[in-house]
Amino acid sequence: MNRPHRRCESLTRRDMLRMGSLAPLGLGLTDLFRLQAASPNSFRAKAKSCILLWLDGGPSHLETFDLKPDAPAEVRGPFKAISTNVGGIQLCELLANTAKVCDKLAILRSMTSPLGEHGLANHFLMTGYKPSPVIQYPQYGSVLAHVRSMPSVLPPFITIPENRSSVAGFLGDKYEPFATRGDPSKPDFSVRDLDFFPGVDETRILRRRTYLAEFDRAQASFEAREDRSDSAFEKAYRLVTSHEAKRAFHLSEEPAEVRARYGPRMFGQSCLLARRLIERGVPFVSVNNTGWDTHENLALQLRDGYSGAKVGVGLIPTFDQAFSALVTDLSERNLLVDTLVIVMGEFGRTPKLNSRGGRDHWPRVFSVVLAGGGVQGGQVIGSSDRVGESPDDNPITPNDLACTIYTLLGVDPNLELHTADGRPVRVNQGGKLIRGIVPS
Amino acid sequence: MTPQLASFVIAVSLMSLCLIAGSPIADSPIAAIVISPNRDAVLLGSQKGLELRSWPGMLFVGTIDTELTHVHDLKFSPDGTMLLAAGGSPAEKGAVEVIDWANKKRVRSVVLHEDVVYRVAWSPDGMRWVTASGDGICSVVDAASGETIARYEGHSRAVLGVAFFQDNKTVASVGVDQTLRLWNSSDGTHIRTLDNHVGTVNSIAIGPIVPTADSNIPVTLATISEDRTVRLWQPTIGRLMRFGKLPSVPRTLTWSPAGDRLYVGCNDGCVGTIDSRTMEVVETVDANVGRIHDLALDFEKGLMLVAGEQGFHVTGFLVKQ
Amino acid sequence: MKTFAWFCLALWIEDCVQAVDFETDVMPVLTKAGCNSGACHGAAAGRGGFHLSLLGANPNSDYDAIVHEFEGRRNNQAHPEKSLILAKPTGNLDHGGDVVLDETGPGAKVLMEWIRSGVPRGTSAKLTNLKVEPNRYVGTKFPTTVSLRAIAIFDHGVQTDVTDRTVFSSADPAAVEIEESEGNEESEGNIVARIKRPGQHVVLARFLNRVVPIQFIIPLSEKAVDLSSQPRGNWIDEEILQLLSELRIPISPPSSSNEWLRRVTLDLAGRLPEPATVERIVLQDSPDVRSGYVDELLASEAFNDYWTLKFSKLLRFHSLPNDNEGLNAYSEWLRGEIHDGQGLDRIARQLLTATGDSHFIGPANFGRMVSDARDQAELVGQLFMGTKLGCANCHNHPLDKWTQDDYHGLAAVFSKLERGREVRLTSRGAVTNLRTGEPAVPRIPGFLDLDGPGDHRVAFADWLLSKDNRYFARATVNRLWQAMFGRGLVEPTDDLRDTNPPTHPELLHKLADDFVNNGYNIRHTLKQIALSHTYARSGEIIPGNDSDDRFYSHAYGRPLLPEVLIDAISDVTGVTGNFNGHASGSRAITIIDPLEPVAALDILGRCSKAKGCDENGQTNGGLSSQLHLLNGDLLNQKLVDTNGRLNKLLDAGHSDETIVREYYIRAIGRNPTEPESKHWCQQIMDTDEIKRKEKLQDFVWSLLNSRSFLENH
Repeated sequence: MNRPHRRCESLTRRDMLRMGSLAPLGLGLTDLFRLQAASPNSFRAKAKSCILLWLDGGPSHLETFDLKPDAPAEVRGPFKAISTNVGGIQLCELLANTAKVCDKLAILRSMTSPLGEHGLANHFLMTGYKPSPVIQYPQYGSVLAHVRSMPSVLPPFITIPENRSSVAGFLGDKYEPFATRGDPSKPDFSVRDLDFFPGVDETRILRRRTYLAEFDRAQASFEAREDRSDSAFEKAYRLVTSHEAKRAFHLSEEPAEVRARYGPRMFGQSCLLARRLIERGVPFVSVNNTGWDTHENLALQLRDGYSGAKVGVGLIPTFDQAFSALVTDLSERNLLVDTLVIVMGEFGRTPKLNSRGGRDHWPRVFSVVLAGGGVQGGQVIGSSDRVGESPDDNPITPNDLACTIYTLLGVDPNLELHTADGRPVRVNQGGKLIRGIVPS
Repeated sequence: MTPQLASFVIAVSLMSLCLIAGSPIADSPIAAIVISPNRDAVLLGSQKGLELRSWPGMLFVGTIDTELTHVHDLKFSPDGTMLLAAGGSPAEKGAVEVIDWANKKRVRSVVLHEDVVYRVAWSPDGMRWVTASGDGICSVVDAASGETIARYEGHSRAVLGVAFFQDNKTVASVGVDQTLRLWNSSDGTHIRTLDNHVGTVNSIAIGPIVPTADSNIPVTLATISEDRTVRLWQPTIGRLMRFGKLPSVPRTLTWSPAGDRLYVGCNDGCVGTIDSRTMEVVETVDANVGRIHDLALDFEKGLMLVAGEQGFHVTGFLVKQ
Repeated sequence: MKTFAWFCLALWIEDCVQAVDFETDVMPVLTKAGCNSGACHGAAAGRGGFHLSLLGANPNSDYDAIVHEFEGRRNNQAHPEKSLILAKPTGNLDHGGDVVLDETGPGAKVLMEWIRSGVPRGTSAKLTNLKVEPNRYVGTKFPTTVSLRAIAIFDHGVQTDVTDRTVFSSADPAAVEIEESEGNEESEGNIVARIKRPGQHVVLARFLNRVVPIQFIIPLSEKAVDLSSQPRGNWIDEEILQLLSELRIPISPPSSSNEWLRRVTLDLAGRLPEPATVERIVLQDSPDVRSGYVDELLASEAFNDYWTLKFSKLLRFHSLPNDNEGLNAYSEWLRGEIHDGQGLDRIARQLLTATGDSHFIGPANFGRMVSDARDQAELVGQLFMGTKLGCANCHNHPLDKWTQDDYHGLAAVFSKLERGREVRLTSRGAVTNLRTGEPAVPRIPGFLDLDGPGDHRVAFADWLLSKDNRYFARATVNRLWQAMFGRGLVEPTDDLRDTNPPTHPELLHKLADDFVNNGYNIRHTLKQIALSHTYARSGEIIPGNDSDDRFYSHAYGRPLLPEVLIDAISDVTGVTGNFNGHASGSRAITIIDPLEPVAALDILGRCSKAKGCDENGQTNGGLSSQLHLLNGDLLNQKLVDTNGRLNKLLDAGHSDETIVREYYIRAIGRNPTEPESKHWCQQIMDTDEIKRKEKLQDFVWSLLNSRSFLENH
């Protein structure tokens, strides 16, 4: 049996050709420059990649980024405010590490939305569009994957560990994210099925590819379908035949010291994995952190993590360690300018504590944090009122946020996408750029 | 006679009658009432202004000039010489007008808030008064100068009721945020929050201090709420003492001078007399004014003036000795 | 004196003006301006301290809030124009919601008059019906504009044109835009729908508490399409062809016998047809033969297995902690009922009313699959009525007639149920109605309060299954239709309401009636669908019908359920699945418990959500499942299995041609064409036995990854 000569440790010539020698495994730079030239003239987009840290359930703004220490006790909540490395900005005491990198963060405190139900709000925040019975709008990652449509080896849109429902909307299955599944904090973590089945080597995979193309060619003449060159199979093929690409998922290659900085829990290690992936050119990675729907007992879920904990391992301390490590790591590796980091959930939580010591859904005002990607750090944009109930100044809708995010990523908000029946849909409709998001 | 001509004639007749009766306020909502210190006159406050009438005959005497578009509260100073008219223009400004009662003239207008003032209360020594405003803030004002001494911002929503303690220092306020709060009127610092009501708290009244041998009688507060309860508190130790349930939402309350009775006016237009020891309703009077906004009781004459959506009504009540 | 006379004249004129009614004049102004929408004062928490009932559901509380609250702060009798209720929406005072009412417009005028006349409450006539004109519009060209009119019929019999007080909203503004032109002295204002895209569109008209849909049908082509000579198998085809011809969408030819056979076997029995069956049916294909075959499928064990699985997902089957016996009893019972051909009404009644030891009485587990009474109300609404009652938890459903009393009332019907192993009614257990703050009164939604003690579940079941009640039938036939076509006549299938009309209203109506008249028998309805010409259409696209995804001008390709796919792979490769805890040879469609960890099923996108899955929302796993097929055990292990079909065929010495044909028939239900057969034989041919085997494995692998196999089309 003959195999093509191959040096396993380095890239094959085929890989190099496909990638372009500068951008490892992801978007070719020529593509990026082309997009940047086309983006709106308000500012030159810097971000090549995006990491979305999705805090699922609706994180309380009053316990994280928008503390109200002077408000009545039932509004204030159980935690205190602390200063950060930026004068005049305070965060929750449980975000001590994040407080040290506040100079890199833009905190949006006047986000506002009318949607208080998880599914609807989720959709609004992730697409910039309110849910419609007629059109399924695609989420950020899918749009970005579509716009930067050069075939790459690593999937252009990856979620860690997975998401609960389809997100590509009318763009189709092709733009659904690749889910890593599993728990990156476990020692035996690996992404399934990346390695060949014993006995099936690259030659055979190539043959399967050829045979499959033959079958599908026969079917294609039957129905109007788009170009098959980037079918699920092709993506799988490229991925499994690239040793370099598969290494992106090997967290074990990270030094123990680096892994420890992110914290031992799933969220932290997922953030680290996200960093590895965007380092290797993946344009969009989202990390899904569940549990923020705290209708009861704030202290237990947000700080302690479990009853009787001496050292808090709840949602906020875990987030604090992971997020600050990520921002610092990106910064130290000179990746922060090129990487937009978004921290958000679907809404905030009620200003007045409920009878179970928790807070309920509150979309009327909440906070979102942006970092990197050219964003001006060390600032607060917008504010909520005295009791964290409504936006006081500069209300920002998820629509506005989407317009801003797309612009930062070099995607023209006015770009028209098309549904299967040819209907034009703008990437963003009616949103306004957030003033002051980038240094002027 | 055609229908149109008939309605024309009726219109003219009604118009004339109105002029003769001279009372534009008779059947329209009245939000605030007060009986004068020597119990010979009453003042009615509403969207139509301030109207003076005889007591108890309720004959129209005249009007007092005011700039308040909505009048929500009328309170005489402890020495009876000055009257405060509180109100303002909703969503625009809250103001209190100080009126010299002797010559019925406004001597000062203090604009304090961004929304109407719903209640105003004098300190027992007459040196200060405090406001409860729709903008969620209470202002303490020096009576002599009209200057603001302090502000309290602890409420998260509109403040609907306020009262001064006997010590001329502590203030209790209540409102839409369902809390009863105690604070220091000299500097606006918070003392305590009492949080048992499960609906907007509509009003608060401090029980009379009945002098006895033992001078350490704790102060009793009464509050009423949209949750249809009347609650008695010992605020200095933060204790809810007892409460009673009502069939209709209570809007206004007054203590008897002896502290044994509470008189509560409700949404259903009835005034309930409550025994303050058992919290049982011992008498109910239908006042025929629709939803009740304010009550004023003349304990000497045994007469009660009730103001509501449909005007005013005078009725007798049993004054237990 | 003269001034006095003029003054009286003015008063007299004012008296002659018609009185403004709060409910029927003022409230529509607020609805139209958006004041009581969920985004503003209609939110459960109100806005800026001002709360109105959502979309005007409760005139009494709205009147109190506007007129009485805070000692009348919102209206000013002395200076009406300063009233907050008028000054804020017109922008004369700072308003968080900006300007929503034109100061000089008719809406502001109504408010002003009402305030001036003393903000009367009045006794309003009750609205008995709202007629919209047109209510179904079939156009002939586009773009086009259509005038809209709304007429209210009150209980006093008078009909009033309320067009200017009605809110018209388009579900798809890019397709239909609503435009309003103001009235003046000469003419009334009018409202038009400007249609910008062809197809089928819906506009909703809302006045007071009624919402009525208007359907617009604009043909997709200028060329008329004559379908009059098309054969019709039954009344289903009649309805389908009617709409296709209105929309001028041409239809694709019938599918081949092979295609129809594979499709119907997958849809009814969840498996691929055997080679012998393919030969038998295709050879003598005729309407009678098809009818006989459908009867065979409906009588098969495979049918029972497949539909037990499908219903188990609707019923939210899942194992409970330390309690597999309950689920076992439940699934055994369900399968038995389906096997025996019991009407769905009988099944429904048992589900709703069963009590007892859930380890023996299957249907008693119904209430154990949810966590509490409210969850059960939502499941009942979803399953038996096809509605999302949950929206009415915190406020009346904004788009349907369900009130908070309905939602909490239905929950109260199930509140006394104990959901342990022993399922029984207790005397405790109440649900608080969020609207009143008191215990909810048990209620049949939209219909009747249930008095007194006793098991209200029986009353609910009686109502649901009464002769003229079509909720259950409509929801069910819609799901059966979705199972056969990949899309329901109403989507989503748990959101049937007046304001989400079916693509084919008459058809849904007939299907539901037919279902009820045949004893709620699912086999009957499935057969009607399976034998229609619509169902037998090819998936091939022809010019003019490429954008159709809901009118059935051609068949729609859809992915196989993960369970069905795994079984199909087993069948083709001749290696049965090996699932932990199940007898060897078990099929994946018998794995009822979504919590049972089966890696292949999870990777392929099996639904494991507690709240059920929308069949349409399936993702088929994407890249992860492709990787699993490429490198994982699922397929690869079966290809090399010594007892697998391939090895057996090779051991028996069959030729490449024979082997290729065998797999074609098993996997995609037809023989390869001459060119296909030749092509594959050329590819596979190899003197080296090992290489030949590998090539054959790769051939089978590719066949099982092709769209022809992975899809049902």
